Amino acid sequence: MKRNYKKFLGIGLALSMMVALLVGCGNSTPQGSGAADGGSTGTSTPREETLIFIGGGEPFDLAGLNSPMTGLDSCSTDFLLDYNNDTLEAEPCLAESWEEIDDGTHTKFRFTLRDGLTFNDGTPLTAEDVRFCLECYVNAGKEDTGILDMENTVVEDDQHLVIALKNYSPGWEYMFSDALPIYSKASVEAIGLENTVREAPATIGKYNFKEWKPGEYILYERNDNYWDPNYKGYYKYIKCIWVADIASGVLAVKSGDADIAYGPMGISVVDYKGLENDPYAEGLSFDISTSHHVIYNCESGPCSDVRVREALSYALDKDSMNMILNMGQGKPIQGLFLDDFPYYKEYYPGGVIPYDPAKAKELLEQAGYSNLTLTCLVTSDYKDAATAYQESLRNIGVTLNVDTEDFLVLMQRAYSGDFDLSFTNATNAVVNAQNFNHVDPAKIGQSPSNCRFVSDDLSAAIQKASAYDEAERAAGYDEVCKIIFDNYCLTGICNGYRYAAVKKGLTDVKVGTRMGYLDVSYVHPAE
Amino acid sequence: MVKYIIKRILILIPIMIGVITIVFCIRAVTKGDPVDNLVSASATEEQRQAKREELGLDKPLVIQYVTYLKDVFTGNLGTSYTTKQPVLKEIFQYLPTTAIVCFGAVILGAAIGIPLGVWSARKQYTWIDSAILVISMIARSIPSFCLAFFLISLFSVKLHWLPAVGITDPKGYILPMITIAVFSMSAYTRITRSSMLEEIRKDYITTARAKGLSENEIINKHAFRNASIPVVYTFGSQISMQLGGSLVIETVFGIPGVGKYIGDAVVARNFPVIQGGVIFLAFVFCICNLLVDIAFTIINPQLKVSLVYGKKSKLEKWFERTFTGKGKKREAQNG
Repeated sequence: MKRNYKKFLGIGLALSMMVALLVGCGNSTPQGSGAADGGSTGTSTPREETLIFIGGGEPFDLAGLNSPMTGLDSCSTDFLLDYNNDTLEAEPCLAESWEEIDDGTHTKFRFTLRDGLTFNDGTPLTAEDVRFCLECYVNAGKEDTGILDMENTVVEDDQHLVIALKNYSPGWEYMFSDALPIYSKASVEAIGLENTVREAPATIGKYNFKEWKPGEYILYERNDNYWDPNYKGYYKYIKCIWVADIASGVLAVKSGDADIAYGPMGISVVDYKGLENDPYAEGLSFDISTSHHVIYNCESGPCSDVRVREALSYALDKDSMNMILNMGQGKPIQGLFLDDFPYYKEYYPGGVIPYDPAKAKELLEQAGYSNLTLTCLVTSDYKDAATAYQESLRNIGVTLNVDTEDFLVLMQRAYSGDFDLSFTNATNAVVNAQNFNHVDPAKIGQSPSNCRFVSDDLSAAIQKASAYDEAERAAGYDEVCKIIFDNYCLTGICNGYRYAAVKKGLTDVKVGTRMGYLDVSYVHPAE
Repeated sequence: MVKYIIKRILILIPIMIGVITIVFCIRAVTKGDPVDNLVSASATEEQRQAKREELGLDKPLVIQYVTYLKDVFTGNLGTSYTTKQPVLKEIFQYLPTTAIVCFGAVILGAAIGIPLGVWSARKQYTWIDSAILVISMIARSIPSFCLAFFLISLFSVKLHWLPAVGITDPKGYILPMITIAVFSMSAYTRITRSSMLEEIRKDYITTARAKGLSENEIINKHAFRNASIPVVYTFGSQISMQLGGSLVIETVFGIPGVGKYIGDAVVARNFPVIQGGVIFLAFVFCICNLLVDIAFTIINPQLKVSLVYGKKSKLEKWFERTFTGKGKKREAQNG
């Protein structure tokens, strides 16, 4: 009896010590302070009043300061300007108007803020809040802010400020429409930018940030005092749950637990196809002018020979690639820009280079390459496509070694030119400075998908394509495209889409055409 | 006994130094510059260098190592690159969720696996024994993410009984627990079966039968009690294993636990979190094993003799035979 007592005491003691160690030492108090912290149980919201959105990787903050933006920020923070998905134009938002200051530089713009706007803590929005936020973003090195000239950005009065750029850049308005949220200066000064972008203490937005349970969800509550009387959010709450494996998110939509699933790159085309005939969920596809390409290392290795690049272009079976990348949804393309791009032109008669392995082999022989071995650098997203290309190239006597790397390693290798060819994508919905990331010689070592084609003509053409004058810019785009096509710097494969899983009956699910962010603040059930 | 515990705790120091060294070395040889993930693509080399200096990545590796070692032993596992929060604080924040899922799963696994193991041993060489062994083997070999997706498809998508992801509802714990429990169950079944088979062949069981005790009484009162030591050991090892291996399950089910925390850090190249997480899990693993050993000494005085005083008991020899096969080799050589 005594021994039994000891035995149970021993087991009980060991168990309780383990539980005490693991559970007891956990934080019962919320992390940090402020609105981003949730209680141990979190806020419970009625399901019918809550839109549940499953996102992929959890953002590090709400403003894209330390991580890519998610589009959720458009729920809780308005921008200086808005962006119209249909017209691709910037529109007034916190700023009711803006005009260029006529000093001949085309780099200074006067913004007039709407009258009577207040943050959700009651503080009025002033021009100084805007200037201060922009300065903080520049100091923090936020993406896109490199062209802001803060020395010449001045506040004229509470409602007016002049924003200066270092040089004119087409599409400069876009960064004010989806990348630089405006917070109150007082809150940023009080807790710092890093905490402000995590806790959003004072914002102007359709929804108010309510709670962030790290690793679990972010909760927003509708702002019933929103300044725009035309906007009416349907759901009282928006809850964003973070599930790294977005395939689980799709299942959650199918089960009715969630309303929308959309990861940083949407959902996979396989999951999208799997939603056909589902009784509860449907797949939506969004054309955001994304295109898939093969880029070549034009600077060194066998691909520095234009004949090799041409041969490799003829050996690319675009229809097969389209099946792999889009399950046949897309269509083969040729150049960097799709046919909906403002400066699109058809440079090749018939549209695209046909799949012609015989011609590819002939071109290689002419170039003096009979047994060629090349290295293809890809992330796991393009592994299947690269493997298919490997098979195509084998038919023409080229051995393609596919190196699948994670993005950071790929970046490092791409920056140093340690590859022969690579698969990449581009999103060129609007005319802006990012259009030439893949080909701009100035971006070598800065863009992981740059083809390292060094050419003065190309640099000059890109410069021309950034001109203020519309006709000159169009001519610049024309020249850039011609140089790319003539030199086979890259080969277009097919266009691409973003896919989302959505509960049946929901409408107004919007995806920003410029960056592919999902805006869920307009979603509502169909009438 | 106290001396033994102190000795075991002191042994943790070189073990942890070894773990820290290995983790640091792996980080040092890993390709890819974490700074690339922390600055914008258009950042200049000066900005990158400034970031490296801020993170201490510009210093020689030896200096980085010594600093890191000192920090870890003073309870500082570093600061997350992404959230700017202390890693240890964040781990403690995520730990309760992981602990609840793992303990629940391991207890569930034991509740199913132990009776199955006993039943299998009692019905040795029958179809029941074979069926249980096959189920156990399938449970052991099926990848946890496959099982997770299968369970979500069945219980969430088809039947709408349980939530597919998240733990905002307590029901959200059920599917992750079942997924882990299936794996755990197979371990219990096999260990219990082999331990029971060994016991029921012993002389005292034959004596008990000769004395006319019922089969239930023999199995439950005598054989199982003696066979339970390795089962307790399995409990400890399963807890340690599942704490460390919860990454996949937490990722699939969107559970905010330590595994998902480390998994996200791997994707983001958040080295302080990866290093700190691995070191913390190694520490917890060691502590769990220590607690299991202490529990053994309380449960069975024979083990106390061997563990505390360094003498090998019969039970320890049995352990050696079962888990290392050393005894079997010796027996084979002798006979």
